[in-house]
Amino acid sequence: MSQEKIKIEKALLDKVRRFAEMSGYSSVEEFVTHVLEKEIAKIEEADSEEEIKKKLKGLGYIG
Amino acid sequence: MATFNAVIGSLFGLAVLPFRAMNPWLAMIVISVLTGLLMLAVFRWTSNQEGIHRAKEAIKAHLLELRLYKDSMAQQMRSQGRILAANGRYILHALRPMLVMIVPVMLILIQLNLWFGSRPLAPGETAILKVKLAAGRSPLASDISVDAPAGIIVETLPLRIEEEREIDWRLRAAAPGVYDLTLKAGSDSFTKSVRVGGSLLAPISNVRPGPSFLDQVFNPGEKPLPRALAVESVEVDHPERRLPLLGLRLHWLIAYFALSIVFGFALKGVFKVEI
Amino acid sequence: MNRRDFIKAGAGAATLLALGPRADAVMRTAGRKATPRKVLILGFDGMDPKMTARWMSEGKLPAFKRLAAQGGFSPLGTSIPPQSPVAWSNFIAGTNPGGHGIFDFIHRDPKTYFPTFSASATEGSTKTIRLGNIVFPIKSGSVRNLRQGKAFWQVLEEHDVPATVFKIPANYPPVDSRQRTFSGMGTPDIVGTYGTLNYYTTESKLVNEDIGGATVHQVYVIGNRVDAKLPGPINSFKPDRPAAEIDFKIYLDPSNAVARISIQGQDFLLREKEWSGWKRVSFPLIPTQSVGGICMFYLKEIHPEVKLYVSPINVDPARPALPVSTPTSYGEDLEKKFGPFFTKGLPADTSALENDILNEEEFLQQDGFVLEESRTMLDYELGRFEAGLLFYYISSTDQRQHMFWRLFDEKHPAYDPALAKAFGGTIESTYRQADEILDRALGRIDKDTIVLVMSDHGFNPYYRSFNLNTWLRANGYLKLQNEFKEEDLDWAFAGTNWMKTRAYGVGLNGLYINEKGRESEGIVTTGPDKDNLVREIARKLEEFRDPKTGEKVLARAYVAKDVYTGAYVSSAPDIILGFNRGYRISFKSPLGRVPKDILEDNKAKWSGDHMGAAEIMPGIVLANRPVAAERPALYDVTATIMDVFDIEKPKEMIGSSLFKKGEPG
Repeated sequence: MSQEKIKIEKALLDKVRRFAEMSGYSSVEEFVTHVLEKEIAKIEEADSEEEIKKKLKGLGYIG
Repeated sequence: MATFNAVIGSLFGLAVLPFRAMNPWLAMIVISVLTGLLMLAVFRWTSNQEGIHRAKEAIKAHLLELRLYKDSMAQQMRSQGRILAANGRYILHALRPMLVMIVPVMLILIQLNLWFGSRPLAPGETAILKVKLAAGRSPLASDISVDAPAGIIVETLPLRIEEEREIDWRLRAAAPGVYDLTLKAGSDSFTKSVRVGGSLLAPISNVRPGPSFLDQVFNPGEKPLPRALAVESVEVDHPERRLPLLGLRLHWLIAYFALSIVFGFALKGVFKVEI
Repeated sequence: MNRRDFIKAGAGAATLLALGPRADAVMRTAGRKATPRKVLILGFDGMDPKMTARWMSEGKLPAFKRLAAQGGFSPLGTSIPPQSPVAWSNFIAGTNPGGHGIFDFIHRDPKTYFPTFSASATEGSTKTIRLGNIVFPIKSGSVRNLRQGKAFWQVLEEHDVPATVFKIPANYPPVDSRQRTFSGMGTPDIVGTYGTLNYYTTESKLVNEDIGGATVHQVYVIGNRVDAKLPGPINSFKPDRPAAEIDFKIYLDPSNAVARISIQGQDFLLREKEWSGWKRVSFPLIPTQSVGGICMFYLKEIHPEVKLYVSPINVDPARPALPVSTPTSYGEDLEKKFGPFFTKGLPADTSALENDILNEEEFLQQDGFVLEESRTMLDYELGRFEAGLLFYYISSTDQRQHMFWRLFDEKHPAYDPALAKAFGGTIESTYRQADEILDRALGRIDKDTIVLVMSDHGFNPYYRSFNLNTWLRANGYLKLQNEFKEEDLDWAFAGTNWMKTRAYGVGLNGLYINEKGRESEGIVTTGPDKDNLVREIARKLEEFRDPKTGEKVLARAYVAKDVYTGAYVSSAPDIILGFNRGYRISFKSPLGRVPKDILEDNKAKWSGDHMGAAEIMPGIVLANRPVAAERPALYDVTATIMDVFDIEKPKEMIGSSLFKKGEPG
């Protein structure tokens, strides 16, 4: 898989390092990847909930 | 151009005449054979038959060389080069007939479109009547109105579209027949043909062209409108016709090309034409 | 299936393509084997025995009367609950819901408490590959019919009895069969919903993004032209999954009430208040792929405002993007014969009427197309009905009772005297139309044909709405995280405190215990704890009275274990609500909302319903042979079919024949 670099503030990176270590992640990358994936999943889920709601709504029995 | 269209149209009509009441494929086959013959004739008279023959023989000979002298790299290269050159000569010889044929083929296709492109409206079906005004004219300032014969109903008030210089009406076909809609603009009037029902194969003109030469070439079914009307074209889009074949619905262009290629190759031996 | 998977299942267009029917050479209609007897079944959704009997005795339903005199007429025991997908499944499988697994329009995922479709599940392709800006599915998606058990026409097929089953509800996607079947209620539009209309208007006040079953587009007239977009299915070939769209234009005459709609190379003129008939549209996804559908346009107004209604986009039967018939050629053949036709389940656009997009007259015009089309296609099927069984379904009887009850019942909160003058007779005239259909059919059958007329449930007024989840909260069974938050909470139990919630309601009749080990955050232990809680809640529900009327809100609160048998009882709701006459679940509770009041007046146009206790909501059955059964039920009709064709009833089927032994002939 191709990889690219991103920039974050040093202070934040220090924090990330600390928490990654505390939570038992093997690397900062693993921790960041995990957190980002979780956040994105949340957003995706929220979108799709709207979708399902819309789909069910065409049924006249519910409002 | 109008006279020319009339002559070509009559020739086509004559060719199709005996088959109009039969399966449209029959007329299509006849036209494909006739135009195939015409093209063979043009090819024969305008191409250098001797040159084509020589080019083809040369290609054959060099192909043989390729097989015979497999071991000689140099010979292989030479043969390849000669095949290429012969091919070039062949194409050059075919170029002239191609150029000569382009115009008649276009005219044939335009005629075919007139006969096979559309079918008549079925009773009950609707179509849009579109009048396109000449540049600079506004539909809002126009007083064009439609007079429909019995058998055609004008269902809507005029829809005037300024940006397209266009006035539309919706027509409904009521009874089978060949009709002329009369459009009136002040003291002038002009007509547009509409065909409803009927099983006879007939030319169906969607567009009655204005004075523009190219429009006339492409829409040979009706006489052009006089320039004084300031109308660019008047149009009734009949539904598209398809030729049924084993459950498929073929566009006439595909049917025609397939048939003319088949007949062209089948007949080239009979007429000793080198293609 | 967990919440994530369900969400992924949102039928994207790439999935639609993958779902498209297979060109399966082996699939062909079962042999047209001659049978000594034939069975014709007309299914009129929601026809009520009381109203039928009344109008029969008043001489308004002569064909029904004739048939009843020839054989018999009886109420037909419906399903618990009497919802169409459940009831028709009882008939299809010849079981109660425990045998076919459909308990409600809406089920829930115990892992997420999230409402789900009960009838079918669409699974998008989970394996994809991304090339540049396009996501390609590697494994195709699938859509599954969730109804369990064997359908009666599958049993007939095993015994070489041919059958044609047209638009029976709860058969989407149609189960595998060589019989001719076309799917009915439950068939989505091509966007994957129960039906989403598009409405284009220059008025600004109407734009409400949240209107159920409708997308409202604010449009502007610029130079006598409106530029608009018709949204289609999700384009899952694109990484951000946007909806595919088609641009179209409306050209308006500056003063005449006529407009031209130009969409994908098709031009058509409409006057004000005119329907376009079916138009084909095709949503481009990527250069080589597109999804086609059919829709109709209605130009409600041109001046002073522009108002254009576009029906939900139905699957095109000529090029079905979703599986709608067996064999695939059945739908295509019908299309060749009749042109495009309604394929979405329940085609009447109740959302449009409910949201003032179509008025009563316009709604009936469109449903008139539905009924007319049904009549024509029934004629065709009767014309080639030579052996075996023909089942034919009519939806208008149900849909019009839902929408027009308020105009023939002065007691209804949404009664409107002016509208009642014009439309108070709609339900009666719909019954008369049903009678005409029956009359034509009776005129075309031979003496060896057994005719059955049936409905899946009856009808009653829907005066008052019951918010089950609010009742549960008031009685301490459901807790919110913030007990002081009184306003309408969002749906799907957002804000519910599951650690303290013992029961919750999802669907139109379902109540579930928050059970440990079943629900992801369950707290009630299986066994006596749960059983006692179920009995306690059922008792309290049955005792609960409407403070406004003093009437009981529920006639029955059925405990699933007591009323269901079969292999799928364990996935049933724990309690099934059987409402009293005039009552129904609210519009909000079924999807997990907890509004403020337990009971509300129903002021909606959706004013008749059938969520009552099975005992008070029977359907009808009529036959041209004496009906011997005393209290026939839906699954008995299935057993009757087996009896008539001398087929031994499969052991899952629980009913018995309506006819006396040896006497169907």
